[in-house]
Amino acid sequence: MTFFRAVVERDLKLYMRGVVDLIGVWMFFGIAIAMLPLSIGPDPDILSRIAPGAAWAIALLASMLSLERVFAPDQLDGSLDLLLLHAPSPHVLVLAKSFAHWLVTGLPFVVLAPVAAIALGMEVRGVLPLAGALLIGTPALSLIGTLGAALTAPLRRGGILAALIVLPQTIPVLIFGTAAVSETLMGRDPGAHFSVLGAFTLAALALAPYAGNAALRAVRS
Amino acid sequence: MVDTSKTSAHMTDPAGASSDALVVSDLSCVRGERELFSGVSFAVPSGCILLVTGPNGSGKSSLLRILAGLLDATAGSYRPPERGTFTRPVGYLGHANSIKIRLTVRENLRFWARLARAEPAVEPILQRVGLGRFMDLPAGWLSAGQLRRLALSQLMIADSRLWLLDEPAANLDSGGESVLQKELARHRSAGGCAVVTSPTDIEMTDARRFELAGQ
Repeated sequence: MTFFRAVVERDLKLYMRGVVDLIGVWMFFGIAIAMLPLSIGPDPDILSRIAPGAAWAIALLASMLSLERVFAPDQLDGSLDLLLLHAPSPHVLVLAKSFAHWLVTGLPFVVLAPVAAIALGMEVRGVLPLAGALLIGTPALSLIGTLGAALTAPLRRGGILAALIVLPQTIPVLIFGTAAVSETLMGRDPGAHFSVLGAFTLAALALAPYAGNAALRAVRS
Repeated sequence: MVDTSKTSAHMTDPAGASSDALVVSDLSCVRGERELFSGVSFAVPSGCILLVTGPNGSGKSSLLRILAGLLDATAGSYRPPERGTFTRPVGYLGHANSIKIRLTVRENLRFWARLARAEPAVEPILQRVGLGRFMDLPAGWLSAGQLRRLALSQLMIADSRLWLLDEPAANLDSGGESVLQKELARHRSAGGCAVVTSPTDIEMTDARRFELAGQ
């Protein structure tokens, strides 16, 4: 636990010292949302109907933007060697890295996405389900994203490749995350969708540490 | 005993099986198609320093990475010493410095101290390596030699029994080299041991020597 906390705190400090990069990620989200009415047209019916899905898809893409900051800097300066040497097990390191990534990319979208969705004209009763779905689903994005980050750790500009590897695995999150919100808006019970979303995140939590460890071992040997 | 090979025969223990020694037997390493070394055997008892020399590309760094557990050996086996009175069995100073340039010197060292669960004061160690005046500067402002000193302090604070140092003197000035010598002497008198690599035969009092021929 000491190790987990120490790594998360250090990573947060490092993310904050390079906060310009992060602001870029958060602004990408805001700007992409702002682009929608320009490309799709200002029809409030269409915009409010696509708002939950747009918020989800853009949150997903934005969280992929910062993957090359998860492992690659530590691999480059040798810290990853020492982190692995000190880790009680490599799985804890993968979890700590995912958690720190989620705190700076997943959690902000839980706050930002409902605001953006209202800006697109989504009904207010969809706000809490959207925030809730993001809260449940985005940890899975960071966990799976960390796997892509591990696979591309030794590459100079591995971010895009990491995103390409990871995006197909995140489709279930996107589908059930969006459905949970749309079902609520259509007045139906979204419980099943929330359950599947939660199950997916739990599965990612259980499997990602092993996959991440295997990926690190494979690319670093 | 860490047996890294399915085929390795039972090992003969050159150090008489004492548990406080690093024992390496018949280690070999193949990277890609190329065999870097094979049949490497030695023992480093406590209080002893082994200087590994050899030309560029002879596998010195790979040997250290194997001993640190960061790389799997192709064949052979090794046994790190037990930690004894130290906090950890093995410490590693790679040829990258593992320093975050956005953190201050003190923050860098404090992080590794936390990981090692050794919480001795960070300041005295920074004084010892000659970085006392720079503690609150971002590490990005340090020179290459000062970064190497900071990397050395990360090894010192972890309080490991076996030190694995990959070309520790790289970029160090003469002052830095004498700090390194002094810390190595201090470490061995505390019962520690070390494997130090160097591309050339450097002066090191009472060190055993081992040469990787290169192929």
